[in-house]
Amino acid sequence: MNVRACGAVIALAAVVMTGCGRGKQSQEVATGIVPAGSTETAAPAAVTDYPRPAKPSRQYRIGIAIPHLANPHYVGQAYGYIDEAQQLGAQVTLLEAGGYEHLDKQVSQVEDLIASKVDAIILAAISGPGTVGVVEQAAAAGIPVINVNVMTDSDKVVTRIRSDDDVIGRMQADVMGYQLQNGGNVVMLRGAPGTSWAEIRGNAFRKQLAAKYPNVKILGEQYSQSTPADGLRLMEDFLQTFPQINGVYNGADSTAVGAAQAVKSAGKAGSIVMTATDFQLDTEKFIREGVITASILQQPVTMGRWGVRAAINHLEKKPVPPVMFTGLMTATKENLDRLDLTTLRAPSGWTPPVR
Amino acid sequence: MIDARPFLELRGIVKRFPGVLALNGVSLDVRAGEVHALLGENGAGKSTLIKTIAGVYRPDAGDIRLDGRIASIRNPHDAQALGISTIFQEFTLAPDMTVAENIFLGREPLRVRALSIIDRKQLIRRTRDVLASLDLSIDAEATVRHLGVAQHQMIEIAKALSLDARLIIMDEPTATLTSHEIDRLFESIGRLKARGVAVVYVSHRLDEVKAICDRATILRDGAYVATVPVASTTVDEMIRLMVGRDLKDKFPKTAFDPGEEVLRVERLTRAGVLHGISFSVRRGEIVGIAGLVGSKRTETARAIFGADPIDSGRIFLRGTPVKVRTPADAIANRVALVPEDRKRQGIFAVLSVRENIVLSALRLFSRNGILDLRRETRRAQELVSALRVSTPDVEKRVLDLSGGNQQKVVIAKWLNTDAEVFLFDEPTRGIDVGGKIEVYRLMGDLLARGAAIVMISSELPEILGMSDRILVMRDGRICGEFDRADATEEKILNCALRGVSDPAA
Amino acid sequence: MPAVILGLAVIFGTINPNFWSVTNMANVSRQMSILALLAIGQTFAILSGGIDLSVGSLLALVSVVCAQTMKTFGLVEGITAGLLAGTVAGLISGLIIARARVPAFIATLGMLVAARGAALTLSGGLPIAGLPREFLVLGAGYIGPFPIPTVIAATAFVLAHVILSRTRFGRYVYAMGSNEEAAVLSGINVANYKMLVYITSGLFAGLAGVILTARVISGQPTLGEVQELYSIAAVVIGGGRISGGVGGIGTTLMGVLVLGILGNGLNLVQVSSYIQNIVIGAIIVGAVWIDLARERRR
Repeated sequence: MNVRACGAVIALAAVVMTGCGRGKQSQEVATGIVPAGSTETAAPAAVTDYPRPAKPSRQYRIGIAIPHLANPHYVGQAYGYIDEAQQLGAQVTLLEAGGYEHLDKQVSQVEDLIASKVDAIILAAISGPGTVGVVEQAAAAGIPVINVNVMTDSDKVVTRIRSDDDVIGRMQADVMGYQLQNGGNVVMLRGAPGTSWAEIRGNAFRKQLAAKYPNVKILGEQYSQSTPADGLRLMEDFLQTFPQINGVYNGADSTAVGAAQAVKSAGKAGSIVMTATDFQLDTEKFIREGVITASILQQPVTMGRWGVRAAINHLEKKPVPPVMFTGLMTATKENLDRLDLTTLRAPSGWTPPVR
Repeated sequence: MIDARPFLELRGIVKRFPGVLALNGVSLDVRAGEVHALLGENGAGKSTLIKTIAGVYRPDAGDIRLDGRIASIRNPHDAQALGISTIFQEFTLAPDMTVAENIFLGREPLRVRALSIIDRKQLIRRTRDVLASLDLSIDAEATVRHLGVAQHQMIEIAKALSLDARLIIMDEPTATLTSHEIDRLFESIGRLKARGVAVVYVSHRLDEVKAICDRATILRDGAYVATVPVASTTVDEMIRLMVGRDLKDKFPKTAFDPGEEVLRVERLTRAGVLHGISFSVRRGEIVGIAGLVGSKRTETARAIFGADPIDSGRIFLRGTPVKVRTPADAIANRVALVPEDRKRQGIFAVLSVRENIVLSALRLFSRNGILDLRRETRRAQELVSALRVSTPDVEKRVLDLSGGNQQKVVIAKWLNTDAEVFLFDEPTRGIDVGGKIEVYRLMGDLLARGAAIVMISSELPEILGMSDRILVMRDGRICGEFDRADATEEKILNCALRGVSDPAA
Repeated sequence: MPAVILGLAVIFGTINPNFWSVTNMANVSRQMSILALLAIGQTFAILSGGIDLSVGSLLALVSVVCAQTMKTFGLVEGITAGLLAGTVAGLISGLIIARARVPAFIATLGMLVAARGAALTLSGGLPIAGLPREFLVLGAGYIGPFPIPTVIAATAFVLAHVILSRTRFGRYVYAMGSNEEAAVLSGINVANYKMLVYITSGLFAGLAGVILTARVISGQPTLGEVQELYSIAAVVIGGGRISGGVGGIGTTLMGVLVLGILGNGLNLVQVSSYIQNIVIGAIIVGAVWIDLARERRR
């Protein structure tokens, strides 16, 4: 909490210092989908990035542990790690745990990384509290840990790199509120239980709705693993339970894909507002078809790159900001073809060297 | 109408199993339209012979001819194709399918061959035809499970007929039928005769054989004895042919002065199984229990041992009435049971000789809850040498011992429990002659120490050779009691085979 | 079998000398200790002629019960509650198997599903955080050079070995597995001892669950998926027979070591975890096949 406050201040400072400028990623948001002036809430997404340092003289060994590689978000992240490491002459070991339910496997993997004496560890934690033990073990062994995307509840982490999940939640609330001007009922598919992103985004969504759009009511929320099958199942159940649903919030896009399928099969495509996070191929398809109204896009490749850069900088004894937010974009039917996806997805045909 | 020419001829059939010569040059001929009985004691070879005809076994020597031509019967399928059908004691109907489905199982009339779609109408029609030809009033679409045992049997016969059987073998067909049902069965057999179908009728019930059979072939100890016309042969003569052997002195028997009564059972009853069993056994004596398969002798022993429940009756041990509800109760009262089927009930095959021997008395070998392996080993070695079990050491798996030695291990286990009453169920089954004598000697040792023995056996020589008194059971009742001096094989068999009581209400 | 283990270790050690490092050994043994405890319980079940399919789900149930109790009442209460949860689940399975005479496969299959459901219900599907830091020591701490979970697992092995080879209970387990009918006819109270078998299995699952919870310092209702199958694999690879009566703690230990060394070794030589699964599957079948072939030749 202390760290977060500190980080927020620094991020704000960064924003102020860069003068709310627009980065390479242009923020063209169509009117009619999202409230006008919402570009302001989207501003932190346009922060200039964390530049690549000079290539170090040493070849560092970096161990990376992520929850899974089953969607383009993590594949994009993986590309970021590996390409950046190549540029900086570092050797990378990439481990994935096979899903958010395999906390014990991730813990074992980090232990193995510590045992093989890597120079730094980048961790997308399956569980905030659950990875505290291994992070402290790493710290005790003198190995710096960098959290990317999903955070560990420990202050021994050197730096945290993620999207501003708070903003993601708020942006989805803004879309929802704007679209449902006369009020409405909303359900939430929050995503993987116990992860920092599911918590922060969902809470921000609720808070923003309560503050600015009080006539939009939340009927119910569910957690689940991030898979289309889970999204489909939960959405079908929601449609059965609540006859009048006007909007669906999605913490992650794998569930959104499943939920969109359910909405489409129920013949309600277009009459329910769906918001999502991230941008896999099916998300794109559903936005085109008008089933998903808008998706807030993270930049996983950037996350990956910044993770490696932060590690190298720390190892080269340079100061590293404790919190960094990577940029965000909004994708709607209007701007789909104008989006620059190089920071979102790995180049087509690239496959991660999975272990 | 009986055809004079034989339909089925067996000549010089020999069949060996490991350690046993089951059939030694047996011959048999059966004519079309005849009902031919196959007689013999337990172990005479009847079962092996019919299984050979049915294709379950292949003979080691000898040949089988059908209609004068050599027939090759390599498996039951071949037998069926040649028109031989067998109705075994264990029925082979599918209980949850209908009568029609069962009769034509695997040969259903198809409407569309390629898709295997069954022509139900034809199925029912043909079933009704077959049932009608036997004058049976069974509903073709009834589910088999809902029909009675007698009807199951009829369905089996109908099935055989539908296969155009020319020979039907029936193994103990009346074992589970009431007298009324038996009449109906005989009517069906009469109809089969009229159609020229031959029947081989295997049964212990000589009165029935007299009623329905034309000729009878007798086997003894795997050998062919004679074939006789039933009408002109008395039951006594048949029995004599079944039995006629000399009683050599292969039974080491010392007579002891019987002591006090140790075990007494009064009117043990269990519905449908035991009907008022009462007897007593004294120290130093062997009471043998004879009877045919199905006479419920094993059930009696299990009831006394607490392995099966009883509905009424009392058990007295050393004069005191006791409640024996579980084997543990029996063991606490110093009763031991050496079961009929060693493999399934007696030995722990993968465990060592030592572990088997000490199992029922582990309390003796544990100190503070921990087992004393050295004490176990010592005791096991004592017993192994006392009983002359042939094994290199007590750690060998019981599975690797011979049948006789396995039996001795089982007996040794009970010697640890301080048992006074020993219930032996077929103690020497599957054991060679030498092993048998060892077991008899063991029994003598037990008696010398004051034990009382109840010995169930299907081998009449064994019963006659070892028992002080003999009880004969039939259908869950004791139908005769003999002293050693008075007993003969004929008398026992007579008691076991004949019987005026109505079989199985 | 010990030769195989040594051989594997040498091969992996040659390809990646990191294998022999103290930290790696400590890690491997720590990670193996959960499976080891489950395998001990499974050994009892399989030896007795049964099986316990529920142990994986019990890990989750125990984790949730332990964590929730710990948050409300305290460290010791939490640990006790976790152990109790496993034991009681085992008791229920045992009752169904021994008294209602439902086959062990079915009964523990039911418990597998029910326990997982209970874990998810009690936790609302969410992990339970906020456990006291001291608890982490149980999962991550050391006694001298040895990780605490390893010490606990080793002690459990010794204890279980003594029980199986030197007590009446142990002997009856073998007897029941070898020939249940004969066991009844030998005066053994099979029903009672069967219950005891499953109580034992549940207790060891409880211990494993508590340690696992300590490692991730949170109650997790998703723990343990598929672990029951690995515990069975460990028993069988070591030489235990699935029909019962043959095997023991020693052979199970061999099986655990093979699985642990394989997993860790293949990781160190950078073999994908998907291929690892194929290898393990092949070894399970291979080990049993070799055992049976030796048996038939007798």
